[in-house]
Amino acid sequence: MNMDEFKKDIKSKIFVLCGGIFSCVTIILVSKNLGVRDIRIDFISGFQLGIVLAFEFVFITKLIKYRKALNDENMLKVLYIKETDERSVFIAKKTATLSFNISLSVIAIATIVSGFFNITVFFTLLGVLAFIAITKAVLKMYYKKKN
Amino acid sequence: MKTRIKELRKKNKISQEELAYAVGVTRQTITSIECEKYTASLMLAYKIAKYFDMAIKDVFDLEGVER
Repeated sequence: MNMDEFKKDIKSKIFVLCGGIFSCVTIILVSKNLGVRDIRIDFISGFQLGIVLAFEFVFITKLIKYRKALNDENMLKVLYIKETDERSVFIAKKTATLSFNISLSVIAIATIVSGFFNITVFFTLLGVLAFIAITKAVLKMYYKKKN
Repeated sequence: MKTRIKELRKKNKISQEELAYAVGVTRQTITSIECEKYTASLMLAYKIAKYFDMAIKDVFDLEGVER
């Protein structure tokens, strides 16, 4: 990836981040008026709000970083080096592959175990497992064809 | 893989940061290569050798590479 392609990539990331920030704000505003008041639901809605606020914080931080980089050539080059450094990319790929496979295995075991206790949990986990497996298969085919 | 990068850097009075910036990697990558923990790709090896105006075989010790 050269610098021009990287600049285009940063601009599309900024666009996606803006969409993400807008979505988070919408979710926060809409969720206040949804749901039945119940102590269990309060815990769930608190958790949901926490996750959305964390995403919001990450999106805003990244947006500021990318905007600054687009206006400063030196900062853009440092960011380019950080994101395309071959050793970092190698570590990220190794981590992603291994953690993905471990997560898939754990979800598979949890699906089997949950089948003995709760049908709702069982089908939820089964749905997640199917989605992950299909996504992996599709991406594998895509990258095999691409390369 | 053994390299002469540290020796060449010291000879030319260049820091790891300067070399890293010049060849387009992070300082940690240069450190890992010097400590023989990471093996540079062909492209990176070429860039480093070109930076010192030397051939790849003069910067990287290819003798120990298994056939």
